[in-house]
Amino acid sequence: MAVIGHASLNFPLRDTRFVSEARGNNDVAQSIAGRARALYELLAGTNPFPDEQPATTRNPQRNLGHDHSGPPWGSAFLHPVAWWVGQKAATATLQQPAGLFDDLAESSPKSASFTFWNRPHATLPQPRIAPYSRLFLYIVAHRPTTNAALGVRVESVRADGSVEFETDSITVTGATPAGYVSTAYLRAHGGRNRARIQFTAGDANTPSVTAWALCNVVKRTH
Amino acid sequence: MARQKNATFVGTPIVDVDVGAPSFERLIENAVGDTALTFDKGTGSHAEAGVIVHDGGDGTGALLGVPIINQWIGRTLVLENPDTSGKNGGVGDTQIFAAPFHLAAGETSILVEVSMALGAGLTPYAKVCDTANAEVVRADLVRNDDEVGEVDTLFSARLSGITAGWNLFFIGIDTSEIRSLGLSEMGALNYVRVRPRLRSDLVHAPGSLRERGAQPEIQDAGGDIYGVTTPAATEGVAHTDFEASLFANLKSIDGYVLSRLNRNLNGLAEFISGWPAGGNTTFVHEDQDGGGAADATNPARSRFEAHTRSLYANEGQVDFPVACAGFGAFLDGLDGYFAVDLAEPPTLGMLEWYPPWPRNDTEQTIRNLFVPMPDFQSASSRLQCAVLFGSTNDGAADPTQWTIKAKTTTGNATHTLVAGDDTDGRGNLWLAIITAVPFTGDAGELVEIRMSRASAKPAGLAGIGEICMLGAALAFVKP
Repeated sequence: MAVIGHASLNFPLRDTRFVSEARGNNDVAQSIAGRARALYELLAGTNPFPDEQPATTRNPQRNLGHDHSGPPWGSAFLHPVAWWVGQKAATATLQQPAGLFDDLAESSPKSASFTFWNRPHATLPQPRIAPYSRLFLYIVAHRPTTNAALGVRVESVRADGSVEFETDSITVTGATPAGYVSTAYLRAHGGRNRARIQFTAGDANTPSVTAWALCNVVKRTH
Repeated sequence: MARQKNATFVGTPIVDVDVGAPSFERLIENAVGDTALTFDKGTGSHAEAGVIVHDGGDGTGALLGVPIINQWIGRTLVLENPDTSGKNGGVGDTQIFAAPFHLAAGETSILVEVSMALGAGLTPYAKVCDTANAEVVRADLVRNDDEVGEVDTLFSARLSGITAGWNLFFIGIDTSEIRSLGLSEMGALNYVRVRPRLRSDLVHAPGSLRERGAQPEIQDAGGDIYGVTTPAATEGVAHTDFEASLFANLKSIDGYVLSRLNRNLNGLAEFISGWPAGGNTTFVHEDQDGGGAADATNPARSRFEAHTRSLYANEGQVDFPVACAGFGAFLDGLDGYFAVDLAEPPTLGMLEWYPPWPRNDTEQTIRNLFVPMPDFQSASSRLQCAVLFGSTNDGAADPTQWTIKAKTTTGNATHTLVAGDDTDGRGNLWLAIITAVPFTGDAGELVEIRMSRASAKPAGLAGIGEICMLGAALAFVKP
C-alpha cells in the first residue's frame, strides 16, 4: 500500500516544524511521504501503484503528470498556436494565386475568421494570467517604397457573439519581408477558440502581410 | 559512500503514517530515496536513464498533446473546367491539402477537423501515409453541425494506428464526383485543425475531484512561508543529497535530514510545477543570465524543468511540433497530374488554391513564418524542417537539381534532393527533411523556406512545371 493521504502539494511544511525541540507530529510524516509521491507522479506522469488511486489530480488533458501547459502543470514553451502562411512574389519568379493580404489599401480592411484549438490549461489566481490565456500576434510584412502604417485588430469571439478585441499599429519599415511582434493579443481559453484577425493599411503606402501567427509568449505567467 | 536514492519509486505504506504509528526510520529513508529519484529524473543528474521525455511511457512523462496544424486558409475551391481530361487539371482525386507532419513519440491517433463549404454529394477524406507514401490510415471526413457562428461546415475524422515520427497528411476529394454532378465550384476551404487525440476528448464529465485538475493557490496570510533554498549560481534547483549510511539500522534521524528533505520537496515542487511552492506569494527560483541577474529570455541558468539543458546536460529532450501548413491543392495521379495546368498563369483546375511553382533557378523564398521558439538547447539543434513537393514525372524533370534551405534569423540549413527523397519512386511526390536547423531559444525567428536549382531548367520545363511546394512543417525531434 502507499500513501494517498496528505499527498497534495498544497500541504507543505514550514521550516519551523523542524527546529530543535519541535514536536514530531504525525502530519510531518504524512506530508513528507505524501509530497514525495505527489511530486514523482507530477514529474513522471505515472502512478507508481497502479492498483490504487493516483495521489495527484489529472492535468488539463486528463492525464497524470505535468504537460507543460503552464503552472501548476509545468512551465509552458514559447511557440505558435495558430497561423496563416503566404508569400508575395513577382509572378516572374513564383507562380501562385494572388495573396490574401497583399498591398493593403487604406480604409479597406481584410480579415481572417476561424476557430482554432488552444491547449487546455489551468487558469491562475489573480493577478496572474496563464501563458495560454493570451496569444500575441507575430506578423511577417513588407512595404513597397515608403514606411507604411499597418493597423492590426485581434478579436476573440464568444459563443454569444460578443467580441473582445485588442488593436495595434505597426510601422512596416522593410522592403523585404521582416518579422514584427504586435502588442495586440487574443484572450483565449483551452479548447476551441473563435478568432478574427484584421489588417488595415493606415496610410497609402500599401503594406503587405505575408504570414502571421498567434503565439504563446510566456512560460509561467503574464 | 553511496548516495541515498531508490532505483524505482518505493513510497510509504499507510500504516507508517497512520495516527499513532511509530516514527519509523524507513519512512524517512524511503522519502529521501524517492525524492532523489525524482530529482534525477527531472534533471538527468547522476546518469539517470529514465529522464522525462514526455512520450507517455512508464515514468517518462505525460504526453504533451500539442496541436499539429491550426492553419487558417480562407480560399475558395473553384475547379475550372471539371470535364477537362488529359494530363493536367481535373482528373482523379484532388488533394486539397498536403503536408508532412511530425507525430510525437507515444502518440498514435489524431483528430482532424476541417472547415469547408462543400457541395452536397461530395465525400472528402483524410489520409495519413508514411514517408514512402504508403497509406497508413484513411477515413471519410464526416459532416458535423456547424461550429457556432461559422458559415462553413465542420468535417471531422479520427485517424489511428499512426507511427510516431514524420508522416504525410492529405485531405482529398474525389474529383470525379464533381464531374458526375456537373459542378464546377466545390466550395471553400476555411481552416484545417489536426491534433493528437487527448484523453480529455473522452472524459467529458467533471467526475471526481481527481478528474477536474488542480488549480494553483496563493496563500493569503504570511507571504512566503514555505522554505525553498535559493540555488547556487551553477545549480538549477538546490537539492541536498544524503549518504545512505545515514539510514543504517538503529541510526537516529536528526532534524537536519528532515529539514533538508522538506526543502528538497519544496524546491522540486517549484521546479516541476512552475508555481511557487505551497502557495508562497513569490517564486524563489529565478531564471538568470550567466552573471546572476534575472533573465527570463533564453536564460543561461534555467531554474525550472523545461528541457532547456541550460544547467543539466542530460536533461530529457522532447518531440515538439512548431508549425505545419499546406500551400495548395494538387492531383497525385498515376501520370503526374496536377490541380492546375502548367500554363503561366494556369487556366484549368483549382485556380485559387494551388501550390507555389518557382519559375526560375535563382534561390528565392517560397514561404515564411515569424514565430517564437521554445527554449530548447540549440548547440546541437533538434529542429527539423520537412518539405513536401509535387512534381511531373515528365522524363525531363529532375527534382534532384533542387536545393531546399530552411533559413532562420539565427542561421540556415540545407538539403539537396536525392533520388531517395522520391517517396514512392513514381517521381510525383518528393520529401525533403532538413535537420539541425539553427534557432535561438525564446526568440522570434523569421523562418524562410527557400529553393534554388543547380542549373537552368530543361527547355521543355521552362517557366512553371517540374516542381511545386505542397506543404512544410517545423518540429523538434528528440534523439
